[in-house]
Amino acid sequence: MPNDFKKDESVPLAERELLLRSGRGDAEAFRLIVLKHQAFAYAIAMRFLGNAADAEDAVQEAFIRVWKHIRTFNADRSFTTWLYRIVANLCLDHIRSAKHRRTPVSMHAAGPHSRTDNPSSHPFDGETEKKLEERETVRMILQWTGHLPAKQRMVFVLRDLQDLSVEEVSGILKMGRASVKSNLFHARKFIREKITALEKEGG
Amino acid sequence: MGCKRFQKQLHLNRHGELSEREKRLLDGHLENCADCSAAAEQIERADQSINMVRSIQPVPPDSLTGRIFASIPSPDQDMPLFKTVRRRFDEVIESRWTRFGLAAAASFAMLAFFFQEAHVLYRVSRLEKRMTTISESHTGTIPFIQWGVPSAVERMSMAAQAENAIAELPEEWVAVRKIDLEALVKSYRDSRRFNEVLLNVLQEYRPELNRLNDAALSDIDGWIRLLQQRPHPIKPHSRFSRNGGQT
Repeated sequence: MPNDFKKDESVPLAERELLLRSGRGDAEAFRLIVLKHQAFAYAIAMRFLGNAADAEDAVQEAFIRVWKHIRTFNADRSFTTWLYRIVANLCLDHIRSAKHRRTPVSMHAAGPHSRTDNPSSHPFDGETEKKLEERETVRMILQWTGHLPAKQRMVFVLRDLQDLSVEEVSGILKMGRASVKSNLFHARKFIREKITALEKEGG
Repeated sequence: MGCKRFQKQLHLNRHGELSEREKRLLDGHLENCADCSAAAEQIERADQSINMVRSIQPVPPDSLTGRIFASIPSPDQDMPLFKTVRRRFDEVIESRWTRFGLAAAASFAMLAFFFQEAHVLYRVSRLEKRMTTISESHTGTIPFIQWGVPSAVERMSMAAQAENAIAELPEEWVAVRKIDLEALVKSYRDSRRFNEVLLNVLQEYRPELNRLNDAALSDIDGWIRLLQQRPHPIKPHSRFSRNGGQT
């Protein structure tokens, strides 16, 4: 398994020490690990799942699993690869089970960017209007992301929205580089075409 | 157009997703193909919007850390050392090869252990019975003083010796017989510990032993001195069996 947990030489000593201590049941060390990594883990889940409640659930569950198994974790390996893999798997499981529970809801419908009306109809000055347009674009991209098939969506979120490298994505998802690129291609094509269509429509 | 094969490359042309060769080929094609060149520009514009999304990272609520910690089992603060040792132990146990090895070793060790333990328990139960019928005679045998951690076979013979020695103690030696059986069984594993227990008991109950005859008293004083001087007797497996208490 060439992609599986490549030895990570760059693990900072402090982090390694924290991992070892957590492995020995040191809750304070584990708290520091959670504080350090929860934001990125949350961002992945939030981008992928599209709502804060589910994202929080996923991150919480991910750290519970990490805590349960941290004493068997080799501190020389990449912790983030492991953590993000758990988060990614929980997210994928979530939408698989969610499919049976309810019909697909409009992703990212709720939240700070939930405006659906046409911003140009409001009598704002140019600056505000531009910002509103940008907001709307961001909201639309996130919504389209929610329409991507699960694998493409996860690859797109990790690579393009969270800016991880193809190698990292490949390690997290236990997916070959070719497969990552293929999923990335389809996702980018879909999203970019949507953006282009929106731009044409708008201007 | 004949550009289909470049479509995928166009979309993958970001940071390091194309090989040098692929990138060269694509760049060469873009120079000569207006359609693909236009498509590349469009992609670049679209990516500005995607970059915008990337620059706005979702922020977890402040309550998240608290939520996570409320749901993880907190380690037992009373016995951190115990927990640590157990975790370390579990860690070793959880490695697959250790498990195979341990499974084999454990079955063997358990058989041996049960056999040995059953034997010791049997002896101890006999010892208990015999302690109620200890004779008046006093031989002055030191139960045993041995150095080092005894082997299983040694444990067996030590158990027998201890049993005999205590059986030979006079009835007045209530105090010495207060050495509880648990301590005695432990002592089979560690003779130094046994010697310590014996010394403590002898010292503590020395005043109570005044009823004994002079010979027995000087015997006990001799033993106390001996035990004080030599927590580890001179040579391994040396056993003392002597009459009288003169030093």
